[in-house]
Amino acid sequence: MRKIIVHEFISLDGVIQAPGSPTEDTDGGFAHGGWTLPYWHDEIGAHFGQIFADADALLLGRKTWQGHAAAFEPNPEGDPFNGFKKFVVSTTLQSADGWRDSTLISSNVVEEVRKLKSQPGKSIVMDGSSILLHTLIENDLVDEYALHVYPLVLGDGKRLFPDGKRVNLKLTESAVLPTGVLYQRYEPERK
Amino acid sequence: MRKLIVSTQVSMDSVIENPQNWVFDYVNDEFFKYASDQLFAADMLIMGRVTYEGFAEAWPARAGADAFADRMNSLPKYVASRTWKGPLTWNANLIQEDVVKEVAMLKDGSGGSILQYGSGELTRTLLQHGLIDEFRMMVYPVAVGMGLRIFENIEQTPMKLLETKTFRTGVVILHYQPANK
Repeated sequence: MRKIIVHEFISLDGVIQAPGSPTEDTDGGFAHGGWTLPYWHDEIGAHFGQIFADADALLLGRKTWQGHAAAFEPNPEGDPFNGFKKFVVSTTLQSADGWRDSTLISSNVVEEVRKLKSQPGKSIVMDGSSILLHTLIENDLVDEYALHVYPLVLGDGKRLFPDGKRVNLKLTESAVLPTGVLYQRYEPERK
Repeated sequence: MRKLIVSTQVSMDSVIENPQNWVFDYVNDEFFKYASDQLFAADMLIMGRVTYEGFAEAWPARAGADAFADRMNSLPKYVASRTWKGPLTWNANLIQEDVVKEVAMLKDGSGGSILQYGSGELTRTLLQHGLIDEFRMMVYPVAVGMGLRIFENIEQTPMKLLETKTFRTGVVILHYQPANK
């Protein structure tokens, strides 16, 4: 069974919205976009490298997929996901032509993701995609969380975990980066 | 100048309410040592009314149970409330007006740290006025799905990571200093 590994940038109050730029996701009037930028450190990139090395697919919500597509479709050489199969979940997208090797999932999300996990292959990585993420957490489909925890409170914004779902976790790694960012990995404890 | 420390048990989804529903699986010797060292380094507790009402009922009943309970009971407390009427028990004093000025005066002296457990309206006020020296979070490896959250209604606040340690249970201790300190 393939694992789904979720990577998120997260604030001290659990917010994951628009870590990379002010325009990335302004839903709910979110005004703090780009909050990770002052804390960049090359170790963050190295952590991504470790995660991607064991993966061959990317599973994303529409908004995160569109962001990545805009950045990487014109620039195949700089695309860290080159060679990855991409799966985008959306009920509004007409096609997944915007980024090479992408497939659209427009219905039966939980069933489709279960199918993906049962196919042969390496791990499936997710980042951002807060709405899809909640669906997967609610259905116990996430196998690992890789979190970069930033030393700030944002005060509002979309959160990692959905309301109403208890998830027991096991800490597998915790490291401190020189910029005050923590890198933590957790796996759900399944009984 | 005494340090004001806010210490909170928090879940992976930032919940601080009803920790009794999710902390007990993770309590061990490391936890007891950490909590005890922190309490014995403090010589005063401050809290809002809601915490006071819960603590003043629960802790006296544990008198004599262990050194931690006795310390909780014997420390002087300051309770911030605009609405409280009548006397306080549990070695507590009321701060009714100008909590910012009163807390600044309490800090302006020598002695151990001043400790606040939990995080609520009082925390927000003190943070806005640059009176909080440290936030200490004990992060439990469980998302609980409901309840009041830490930093509720607090605006964007950068922090400096001071210290971190990991217990064998997967609880992670994080000490942060707000940037306005």
